[in-house]
Amino acid sequence: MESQSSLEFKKLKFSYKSPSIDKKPILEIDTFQVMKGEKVFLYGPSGCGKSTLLNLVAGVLKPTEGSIRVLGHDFDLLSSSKKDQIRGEKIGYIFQSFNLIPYLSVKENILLPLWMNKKKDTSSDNLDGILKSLNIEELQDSEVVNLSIGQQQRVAAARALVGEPQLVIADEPTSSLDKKNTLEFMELLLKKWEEKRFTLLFVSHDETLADFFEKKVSLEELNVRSGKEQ
Amino acid sequence: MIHFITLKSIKNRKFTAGLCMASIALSVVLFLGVERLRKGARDGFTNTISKTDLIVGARSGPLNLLLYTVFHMGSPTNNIHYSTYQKLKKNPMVGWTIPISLGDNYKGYRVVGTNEDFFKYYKYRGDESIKLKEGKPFKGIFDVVLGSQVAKELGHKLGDRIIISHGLSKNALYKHNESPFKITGILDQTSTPVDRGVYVSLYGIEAIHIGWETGAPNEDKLVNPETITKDDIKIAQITSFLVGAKNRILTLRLGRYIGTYEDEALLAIIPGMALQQLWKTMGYVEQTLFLVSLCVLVVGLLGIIISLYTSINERRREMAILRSLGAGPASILGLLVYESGLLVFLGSLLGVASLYGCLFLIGPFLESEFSLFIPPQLPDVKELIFLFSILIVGFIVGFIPAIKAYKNSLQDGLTIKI
Repeated sequence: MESQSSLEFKKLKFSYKSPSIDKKPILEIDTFQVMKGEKVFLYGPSGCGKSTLLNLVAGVLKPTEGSIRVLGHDFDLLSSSKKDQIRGEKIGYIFQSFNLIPYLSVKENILLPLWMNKKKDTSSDNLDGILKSLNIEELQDSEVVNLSIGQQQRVAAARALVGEPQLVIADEPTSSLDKKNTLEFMELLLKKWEEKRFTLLFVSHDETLADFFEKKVSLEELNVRSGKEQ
Repeated sequence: MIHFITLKSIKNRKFTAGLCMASIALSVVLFLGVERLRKGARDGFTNTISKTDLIVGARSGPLNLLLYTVFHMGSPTNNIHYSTYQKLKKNPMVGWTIPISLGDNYKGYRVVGTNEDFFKYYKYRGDESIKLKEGKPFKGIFDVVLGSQVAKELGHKLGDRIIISHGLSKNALYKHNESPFKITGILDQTSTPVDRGVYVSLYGIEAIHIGWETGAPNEDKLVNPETITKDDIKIAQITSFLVGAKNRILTLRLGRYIGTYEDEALLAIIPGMALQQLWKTMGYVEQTLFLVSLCVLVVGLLGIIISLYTSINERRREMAILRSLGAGPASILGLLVYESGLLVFLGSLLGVASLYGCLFLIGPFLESEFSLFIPPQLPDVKELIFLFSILIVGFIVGFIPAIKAYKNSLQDGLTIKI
């Protein structure tokens, strides 16, 4: 059963190693599991440990206690550089805004993960396919500064997906978008999900998007410590 | 990969990056330029006169004597009696001599009165002798031999007649209209001040001045060039003379003998030693310039540090993106170190290119005005070591902003808390 899960937390605890008076954990999750190919809607207001959780899943932070398995790897045990490598090869990440490197072209931004993790194939067919499916084909050679925020987010999605990741983490990707762009983004992303069946961890405080997902998890309920002072 | 991103990042900040590179370039130009000038000056001076043991002139400053006799720079304060010269010439310690008589001017070029010993004994650049490209050395009173540069710049050929004026300035008040000289020879190029000389016999110099004793023309006594002969002319003075001792070991003794000569106040210098004094003076200037170039380098490096450091904040997003793509904090550090090093590298290239550009532009001027020949050769070992060192320093200096970015990256992770 283990190999079927993409994400698994067990008695997870995290607190910052900063010199604070009380070392109470920011994050405390007893158990949490996401299966391969599932799409999960993780919602909650800010201040409930969302950033910490995402950083842990991405392998950028190490849990203080407990275990966390991502894509079959024990992230609580692996070295930072190994986790960086896995993140680069198998995980796609979409930020809320400012996803793109301003001095690279759209095409360069999208191909960046492939260049950084040389194991991937950089054929242009793959690129064209992704561009088409996200409605950004004509933007290939544009400069990033000329794109609207809606276009930028779709380019960000393209970059996250170009390397055929097993896990895609979307951190409030539509929170900067208007209604129309939000719907377009959701449509295109979920269509891609249907096609490729990667695991999708979608985090947002916008609960109107919950309808797109079967599995909905409240971060407030999940985190035993949420709402408490950080 | 790092190279690609860094290059694009620099292109994005063209102006600030350009300024940083310009400072580095300036420092490189200063350092290498001073080095080359230094070498060029020393080589140039050393090559101008070789195998001459002593230079003798009226008692004045040793450096002065060297400069006006050999380098056509500055003017003699006093002359020496020709009779004294003739007596000293016969001294058993003396091997050969070359008399020099200065004071006249031809269109800005120094007129040098000498005799056939000049063509026989003068050596430069080791063991090279004066050679004639065409024609013959002077025989008659009014025969002239031109240095290669004079002939080239003024477009003279054999057989041309020229007018020589009194005094050293280009725009002399009086011209010797009555005594035209004829070019009988043109010298081969030597790349020394010899090229800029106009050579006549000692008789020729005197003939010009007959009737000019007071400094202005005396109509009664002026010379008729057609009728005058060598017997009519009495050589009374010369400015200085070069001496080759019979034996190198005798040089010091001969020099002291001449310096304490009872009948006239003379000064005998050893060219090499006089040059040492020149180098010492130049040495202070060179050290100062070297310090200046170091200061400029420091300023340039500080500029890079500041530029990168202040960019860290606005690049936090960029770093988070790279981290999300699999870059570790070490890569972030490497990115900034590399950018610093690359800026220094490009600045150095710019500096070297500018140096060659400057040499190309100013080279001919330095050569004609100062006989300073700076060959545009490829950087030598010392220069390469300097360039390599500042490159290393460039990378090291990059660690200052890089470590800050590294720490930021660890703290921020993928979610920046602004």
